[in-house]
Amino acid sequence: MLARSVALSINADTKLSDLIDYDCHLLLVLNRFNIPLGFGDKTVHEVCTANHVDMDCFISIAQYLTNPDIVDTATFARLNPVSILTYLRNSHDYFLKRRLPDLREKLEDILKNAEENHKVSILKFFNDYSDEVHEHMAYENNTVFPYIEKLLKGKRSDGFSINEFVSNHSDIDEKITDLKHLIVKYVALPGDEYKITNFLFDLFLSEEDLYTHCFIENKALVPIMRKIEKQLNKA
Amino acid sequence: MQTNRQRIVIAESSQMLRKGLVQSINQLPYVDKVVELDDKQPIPEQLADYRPTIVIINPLLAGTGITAGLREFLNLDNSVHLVALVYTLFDQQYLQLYDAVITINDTQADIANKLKSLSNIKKIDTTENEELSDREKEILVTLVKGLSNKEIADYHNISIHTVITHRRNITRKLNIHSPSGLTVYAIVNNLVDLNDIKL
Repeated sequence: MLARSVALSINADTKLSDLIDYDCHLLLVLNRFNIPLGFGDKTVHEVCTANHVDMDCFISIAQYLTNPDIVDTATFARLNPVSILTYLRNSHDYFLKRRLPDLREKLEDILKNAEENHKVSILKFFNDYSDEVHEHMAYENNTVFPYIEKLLKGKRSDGFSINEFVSNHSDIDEKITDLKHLIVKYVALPGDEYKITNFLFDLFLSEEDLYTHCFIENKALVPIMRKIEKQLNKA
Repeated sequence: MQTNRQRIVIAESSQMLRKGLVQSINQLPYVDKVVELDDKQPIPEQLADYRPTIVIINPLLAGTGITAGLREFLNLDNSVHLVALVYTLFDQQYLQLYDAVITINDTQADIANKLKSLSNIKKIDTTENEELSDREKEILVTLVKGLSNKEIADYHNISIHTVITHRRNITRKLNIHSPSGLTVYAIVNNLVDLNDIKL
């Protein structure tokens, strides 16, 4: 196994199982590209081919997640938009249907014995946040992504452009960071410390995950779409 | 993985230069977000909204009459890197106040290197006490009750500028940035009663 202090440069011949050993966060990337486990000693190239995944896309995202410093994000603009959309849609699904409900359940559990006003205010905070993420991702699923799919078919639709998406695209990891700080620094919750720690691990992961998610939207999806809009405008 | 995120704000009145600079730094891997300031609001107020880690500013906009106290004027604490964007001649004494200088002749690689070396230095402001002062607690209470900056200023009989400074110090000290997060803080610390808040 490679030490984490060594930057791993991922290529077509990298063994996928080595990659997962190197950084377990990449398990989520497998899920989002619909790559099932049980791939034995297959390389990145072999697994991507077998599962019809665009390999450049996979490598770029995996490389960004593991060692962002060695990634030239300018190359993101050349990635396959269809694969990026698959990745983003699946990750929306994951946040909305899995991650947020799971966080909420764990939060309710650790708040069980808390003072009433702590419980009410923190749950309210979380629910509002959850609504915000739903709204944010629903807008992308229902407005932005269909627009992009239309563009990819060569149809320009009036009344929307990627610039509109850019100006509406807000940070959605801020409140999760706040919740993390509140629980670590300011709210002494009674009860099972291990459960609280588990919840915090999840929060840290979610924060990072949401951040990289938005990063991919901003640095891959947006420049790709700008390029396509430009080409269509010229035509 | 999160260590090197930079939030960069650019204050430059020439649209051409601003756009050019945005273009060349937007693609850098450690840049999280680049924001251009407009001229609709005073610069210190806009800076407070964006919480930048690096501010690139034309010294003319920062005021060349100021030889010390530049950070106070811009309402920035010591953890923020200040970069001068220079295309006219300035007295060296003004430029000494900045952590780096980008000139109009710099290549894209020069700019990338300068920002990269700044982003590798994490400045932490340890000089200050992180406890909220009594005044800040009072401001926080009116803030979480949903009052606007103007209303808070009137209520405490202070200027809007002072309100903004207090707000910035509160969020920096607590490391909580959303209004609803501050509300939770105020409730769990018994600064306000749950019933006083429109939840």
